[in-house]
Amino acid sequence: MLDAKVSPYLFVSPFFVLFLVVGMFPLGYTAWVSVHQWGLLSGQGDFTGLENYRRVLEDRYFWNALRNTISIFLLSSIPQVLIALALAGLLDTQLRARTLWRMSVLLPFVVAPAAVALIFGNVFGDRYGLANEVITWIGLEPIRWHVDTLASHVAIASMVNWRWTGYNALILLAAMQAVPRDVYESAALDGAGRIRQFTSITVPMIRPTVIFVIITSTIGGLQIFAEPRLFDTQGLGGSDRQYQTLTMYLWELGWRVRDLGMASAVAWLLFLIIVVFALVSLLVSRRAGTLKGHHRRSAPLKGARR
Amino acid sequence: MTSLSEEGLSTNLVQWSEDWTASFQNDGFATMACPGWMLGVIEGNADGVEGWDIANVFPGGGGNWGGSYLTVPAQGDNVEEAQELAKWLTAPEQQIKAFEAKGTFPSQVDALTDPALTGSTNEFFNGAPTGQILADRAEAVPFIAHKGPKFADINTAFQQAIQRVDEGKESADEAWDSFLADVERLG
Repeated sequence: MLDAKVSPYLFVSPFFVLFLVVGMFPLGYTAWVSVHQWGLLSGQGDFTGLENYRRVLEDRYFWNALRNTISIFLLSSIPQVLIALALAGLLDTQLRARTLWRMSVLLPFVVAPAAVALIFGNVFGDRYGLANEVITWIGLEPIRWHVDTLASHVAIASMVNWRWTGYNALILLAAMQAVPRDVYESAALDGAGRIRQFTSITVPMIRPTVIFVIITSTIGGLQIFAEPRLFDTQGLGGSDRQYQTLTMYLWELGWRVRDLGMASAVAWLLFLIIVVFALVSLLVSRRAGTLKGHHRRSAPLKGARR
Repeated sequence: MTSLSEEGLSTNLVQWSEDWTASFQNDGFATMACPGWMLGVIEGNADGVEGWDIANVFPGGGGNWGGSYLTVPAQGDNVEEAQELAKWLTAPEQQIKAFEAKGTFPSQVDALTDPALTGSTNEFFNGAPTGQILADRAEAVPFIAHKGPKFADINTAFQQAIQRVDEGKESADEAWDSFLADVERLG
C-alpha cells in the first residue's frame, strides 16, 4: 500500500532534487548576496538591505542596457516567430526530400554561439565585411554595424534569428503535423486557399505550441549574451555601450567592477523583468489566438444555424 | 582641442577587431606603435605584404606597453623556492635565451647590451636592426608608471572614450567628461 503511494513521488524526485540544487538554491543564494556588500575577491561584507538595488537603478548604464535588451529582443523574437511559422508551414507541405529540408533548418542550431558570433563578426565588419560589400555594390552607403546603435542591434538580432528560427520552426512543424488532415480537406471543399487554410486552421489549431514558442523565445531573447559579448573585443557593448545587454551589464558588474552584490541585484531585477515580459507575451498571444480562432470560425456556423 | 580623428590622422579602427586585422592586407595603415611583441603580430597579419619597417622614434623618448609578469601567491606551500624560480626565469641569461628562441624582448636592463640582442635584425621589417632599436627605446623609458588595482578598468574606459571621439559619437571634451564619470563609477 505504502509502496504504491510513495513510489510515484520517488520516481519524479530526481528532477525536483536536481532543480532544488541547481535551480532554487542559486536563486535564493543570489537574493542573499544581493542584499549584502559582496566583492568578487573580498567576499561577503555587511548586510546593506536594498542598497545594491538602489545603486543599480541609479546607474544610467542599467537603463541603457535595459533599452538595448528590449530593442534586440523585439528585433529578434518577433521576426523569429513569424518566419518560423511560415517556414514550418512550408515544411508541412508535400516536399520532395522532406527530411533533408527539415534537417537543414536545424543546422544553424548545432553551431556553437561563439562560432556564430565570429562568423557574423566578419560579415558585419564596418569596413571589410561581406554585408557592407553587398550594400555598397547595390549603390548604398555602407552601414557602421559596430558604431550605430540600431545597426548593431539589427546585426546581433540577425545572429540570434539565424540560430533559433529553424529550431522554433521544427517545434511548430511537429504541432502542425498533429492537425487532422480532414479539416484541411473540408476547408478545401469550402473553397479556402492555402493561405486562408494556414491562417484560419493551422495557426489557431497549434495555438498552445505557438504560445510555448513565444514564451520560450521571450525568456531566451531577454538573456542574450554570447552574440553581443563577442561582437567586439572589449566585451562592453561598444564604445558607448550601444549594444550592452542586461546580461552583459551583469557580467561587467561582477567580473570587471568586481561587485557581486550589485551583479546579484541585476540578476534578480532581470528575473522580475522576464516574468513580467513572459506574462505580457502570454496575454497578448492568447488574445490574438482567441480572436483568430473564434471569430472567424464561428461566423459561418451562425449563418448555417439561421 | 582637436582630435587626430578630426584632422584625418586616425585609421578609425578598433585594435584587434576584424576590420583592424583585415587592414593589414588592405593597405589600411600608415604607422603603428610597435612594442617588441607587436613585431610578430604585424608579420603574421601582413603576411606577403612588403614595405613594413621600424623606426627608432617614440613620443617622449620611450614607453612601456604590456609585457608579462610572474606572480608568486603568498599562500603557496613553497613560496621561497617559487621566488627563486621566478628570479632565475627572469635573469638576463634566461631572457636572452628566450629572445633567441622566440623573440620575446627582455625586461632586464643588463640584457639590453647583450650582442645576441643588439646584433639581431628582422628580415620582414626590411632587415632593420630591431634588437638595437628596441633596446634604445627601452633605455629611453624615464620611469615605470605605477599600475594600481584598477589600472585595466581605467585604461579600458579611456580607450572607449578615445574610440567615441574616433567614431564621431562625442567631441574630445565630451569624451573626457564621460571618461571621468566612468572612472567615478568604478568606485
